[in-house]
Amino acid sequence: MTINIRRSSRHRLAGLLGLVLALQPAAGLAAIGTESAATTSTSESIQLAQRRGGGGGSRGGSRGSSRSSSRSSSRSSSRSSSRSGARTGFSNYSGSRSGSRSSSRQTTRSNRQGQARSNSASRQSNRQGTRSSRQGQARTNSTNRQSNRQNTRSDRQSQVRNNSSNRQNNRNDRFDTRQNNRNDRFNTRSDNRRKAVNNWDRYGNGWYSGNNWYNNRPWNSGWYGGSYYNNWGWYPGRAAAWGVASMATFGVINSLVNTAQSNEVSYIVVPDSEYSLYYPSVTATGDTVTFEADDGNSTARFYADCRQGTINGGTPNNGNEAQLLNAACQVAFGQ
Amino acid sequence: MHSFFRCRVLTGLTVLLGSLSASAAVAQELYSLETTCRSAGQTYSCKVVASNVDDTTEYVHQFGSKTVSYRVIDDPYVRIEGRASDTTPWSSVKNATIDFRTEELCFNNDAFCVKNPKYLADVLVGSGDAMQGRTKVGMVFAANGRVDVACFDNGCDRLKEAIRQ
Repeated sequence: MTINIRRSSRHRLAGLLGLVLALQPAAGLAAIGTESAATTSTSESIQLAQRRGGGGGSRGGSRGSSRSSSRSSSRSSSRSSSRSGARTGFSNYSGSRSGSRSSSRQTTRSNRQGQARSNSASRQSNRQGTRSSRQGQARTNSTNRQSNRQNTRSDRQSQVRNNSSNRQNNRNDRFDTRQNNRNDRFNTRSDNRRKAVNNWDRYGNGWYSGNNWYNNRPWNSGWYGGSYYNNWGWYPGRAAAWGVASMATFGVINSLVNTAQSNEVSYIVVPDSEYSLYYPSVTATGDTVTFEADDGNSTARFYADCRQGTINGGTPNNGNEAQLLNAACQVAFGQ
Repeated sequence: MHSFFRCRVLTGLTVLLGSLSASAAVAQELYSLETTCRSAGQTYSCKVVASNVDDTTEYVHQFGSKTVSYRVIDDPYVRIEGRASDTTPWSSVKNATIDFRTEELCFNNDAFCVKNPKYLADVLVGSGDAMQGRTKVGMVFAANGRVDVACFDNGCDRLKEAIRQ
């Protein structure tokens, strides 16, 4: 009977030891600690995600990290503790610690169950919180997207307007630049145009040298003026056709000659004409005048009849020649 | 037959001579103008007619009852000949001068002068730069009719003084 009791007690003890060894309370504690830590970290990450109010990136990130960390940590910790439990914690519970082991086992189980419930509740809460935050996030995102779309549309429209304005401005700038370049080129051409040669020294001193040059002309002078050229047969009709509004007066020619004299220049640029007139070359007799003029390409000698209004034996061919004719007649006979 | 041949020769000669005389009379009037002439210290109103006659240019001046003519020949060299009437022969002038101030053309020490602006203008235009700014120009002819001396401006006064001496 005693032996039976001892055997049965031995059997029970062995069964308990097997059970204890199988349950591996340290591993369960470790699993609880890990679970709670994982839960804490998961809830923290959810709270962070909610606080951020972010989009899909934070949503997927929090979900994946919480699931993977809690599952893997609990499984791995339980397996590792079943292999080497004797060596690490069981020796410490032999003797008087068996009861504690059992109670601890119960407590652990209870803790595990409570933890499971709380985990489930927290997961449920977390899911709801996550869903709510997702919905809020979705609404916020929708609002934000709508707002962003409107802002983007507004930006695009204003950008289009700006681009259009810029294009127009650039177009105007290019036009202005082209026009300016054209003017510059024209001015350059005008500047590069062959100037009459200043052969002041060739003429030396003569009636044309002094201030009162018009009093020193060696021929009969002082009769020519508007009353003559207005009576030239061709003048009333053809001058208008050429755009010749009027001929240079003696005052204008005299001023040009005086300026040229003071600068020791032997020519004047005939007003409204392409010709330059070498005023010292003007020589007159009767109504006839001969003179040299430069047309921008070469210098040539002309003759003209100031009473009849002819140049080189005929009426002028254009406004240029008409102005040259008048200028020469003013120098020769004007006053 | 013989007399008929003679008649044809005479006719041909007549036609030939007639054509020759007609060609000698060819003249082209260039211009005419009413102006003044001065002769022997007196001024007359006179008519000038300029014409090209063969290779010469003739200037015929009619004033009062007189007709004084000059002609200019430029080939083979420049000559100026004059005659006091249509019936007298041409003879070379001794000298000719132009005064651009008075617009006068004079011959033989101012024995005859005419205001012919056309002539002066032609001189001016035809001379190019050479006549530019001149107030006087003159030519003195030798006995053979060729130019001995040409003068300009004050040179013409000095030449006159030299001639008088």
